[in-house]
Amino acid sequence: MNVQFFAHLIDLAGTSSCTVSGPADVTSLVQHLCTTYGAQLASQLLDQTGQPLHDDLFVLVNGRHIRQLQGLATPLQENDTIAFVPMVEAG
Amino acid sequence: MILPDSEFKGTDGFYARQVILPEIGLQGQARLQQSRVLVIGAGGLGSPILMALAGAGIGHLTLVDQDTVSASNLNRQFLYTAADIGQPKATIARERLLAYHPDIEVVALDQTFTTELARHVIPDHDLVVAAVDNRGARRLINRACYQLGKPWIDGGVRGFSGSVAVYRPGETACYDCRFDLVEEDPMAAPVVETGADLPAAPIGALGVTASVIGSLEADLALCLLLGLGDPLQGEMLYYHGRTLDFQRVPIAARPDCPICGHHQTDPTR
Ligand SMILES: [Zn+2]
Repeated sequence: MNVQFFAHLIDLAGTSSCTVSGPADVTSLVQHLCTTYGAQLASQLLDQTGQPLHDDLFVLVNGRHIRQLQGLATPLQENDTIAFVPMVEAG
Repeated sequence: MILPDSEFKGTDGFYARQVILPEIGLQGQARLQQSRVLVIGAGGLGSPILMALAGAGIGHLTLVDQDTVSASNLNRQFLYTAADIGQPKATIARERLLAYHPDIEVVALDQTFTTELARHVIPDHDLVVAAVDNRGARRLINRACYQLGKPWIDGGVRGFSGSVAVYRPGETACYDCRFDLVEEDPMAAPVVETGADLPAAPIGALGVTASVIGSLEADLALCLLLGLGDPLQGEMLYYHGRTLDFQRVPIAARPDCPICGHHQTDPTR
């Protein structure tokens, strides 16, 4: 699956996109990314209690909010595109 | 002040270098001169937006900002100088814009942008450009613009990155729907009118990022006002200043959105 990062997540992951194989749902993918890219990215993907997801972040699977799908349990297929999009709100 | 045609045609006129563009011409320039744009916020994003729109000859600008100029604004808010610290932004911004282009009309409102003010001022404008710093203000602008059928342009920054979007009632998903805020209580995110310097922990802000994002908002405004179409077509654009990535994000609307749902003809837009 194709994973895309936006805004400051690009700095923390060191890339704007990557290819991942294996995770069966969004929770597993987030865990995989936290392991792969380390604590700094994890701090922006997870909330204060260490659970997905951070308040300022929304996740799209093929352009649809996971909240409109099955949330963190949304199943993932190998050809899916998953976007991690932070809210960018200062002016 | 309405400029005679000779001001457009003359090689020294304010708009001489843009009326020769095929996308603008005399007709497009007249269209810009007849346009009325409301800019909410005269801070980091507002500075480049207002200067670009005044420079392009938008005939009427209304700007709203309740804040006063502070020293920490001056790494990015180039409408102001050190001598303006403590002065109301909207009033000073109006003076600067009229000094730059005395041919346009500028109305300055030194007040908080509330629902009541939105209903009062938005109908007199063709387009709303947001340059605000919080979610509550964006949700307020979104609701008012969709109720009144006016397009609005949004921008936001965070460090080296930023994003822009165009919201067109009847054509695109609205802000709440795009960020899936529909289930959230609108009052849970009150309008925090603090300029760019938020109370508890100030958010980092960089002049170059605000200039890029504000300029993109102004570009979108000119495209819409000139009838050149909406370049984003329902997508958001993210920019990153360290990698120079420009990424587009298509985001589906919610067909059941209480703000824009009944306007939607195509749920993928
Ligand atoms: Zn909506």
